[in-house]
Amino acid sequence: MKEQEKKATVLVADDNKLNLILTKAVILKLGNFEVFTAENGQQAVEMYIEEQPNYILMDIQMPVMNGIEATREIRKIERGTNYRAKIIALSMMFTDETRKMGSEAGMDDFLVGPRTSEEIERVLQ
Amino acid sequence: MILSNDLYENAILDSSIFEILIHFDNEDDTNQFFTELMAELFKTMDGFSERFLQIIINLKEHNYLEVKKSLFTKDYFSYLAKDISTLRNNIKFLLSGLIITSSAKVVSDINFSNRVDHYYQLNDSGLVYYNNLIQELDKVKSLEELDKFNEYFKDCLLEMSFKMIDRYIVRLNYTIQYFQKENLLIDECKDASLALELFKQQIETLKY
Repeated sequence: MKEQEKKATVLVADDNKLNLILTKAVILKLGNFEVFTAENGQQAVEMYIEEQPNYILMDIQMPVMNGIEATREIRKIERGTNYRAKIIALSMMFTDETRKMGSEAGMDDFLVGPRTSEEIERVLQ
Repeated sequence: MILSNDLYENAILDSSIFEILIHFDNEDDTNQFFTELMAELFKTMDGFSERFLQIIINLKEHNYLEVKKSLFTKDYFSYLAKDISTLRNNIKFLLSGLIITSSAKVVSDINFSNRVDHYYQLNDSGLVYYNNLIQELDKVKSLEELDKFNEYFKDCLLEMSFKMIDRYIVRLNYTIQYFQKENLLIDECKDASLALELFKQQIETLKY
């Protein structure tokens, strides 16, 4: 039997549960992904430690710990390892300042507006 | 569970959500996501009901800034069927106009039509009251007439708000019944049904 292709892993962090469910649905429809979810930045960091996902879709505004702080924490954990997840910031709108802060924290890409399958496919490459 | 065209057209969720939920290789995935979404949405019902009641009460009492707070709260509104979210957007926009006209101290200060024109082009559903309001506003020559106009304006927004709430009730009721027929989310549907009945009664008393 042909060995099953290993799935790429995605962590989605968002405090809006409907967004979380729909984003997960969009990603699973794209195909070969396994999806984990977190409802705030703190949970995202914990989930990162546990699962070491290939991609992290991180909402900027979240309770407990926001997306930028969580990204900083994750990048700290990665220091000294040869592992680096691709972190994509999610928001309906980014100010220049937020983009700057996100980039400085270690975010690799920004997904603005509705999470269409085309946009999500673009960032998960 | 069958996600039928009838469901797309009458459910509380916007049809774009169904587009995301269908076309999975496995139908169970569609059902699971749809059930998860609805379970989450049912949890937010109390919040919606409270907010809708506040919109009506504060409109009636001329507390327009409070109405604005209720309308502008970040929430799940954008997931609701388009007729509901469009009405909400139109009310939000017109309310900004009402806040301007009701706080004007001099009739000549009033001018909210410039940005309405822009919005009107963007909004495919149209602002049904826009032309009437502009015509009525053009007739205003004194502060007494302005007071009358503001009452008329407020009544338009009240009518639109009741319409939005009625659409919400009808669609939510349909969705609850759909799940009940499918024997899914049994406890959630029971609670949602009771809460919706209470909300309907509260809204009815505010209509008169």
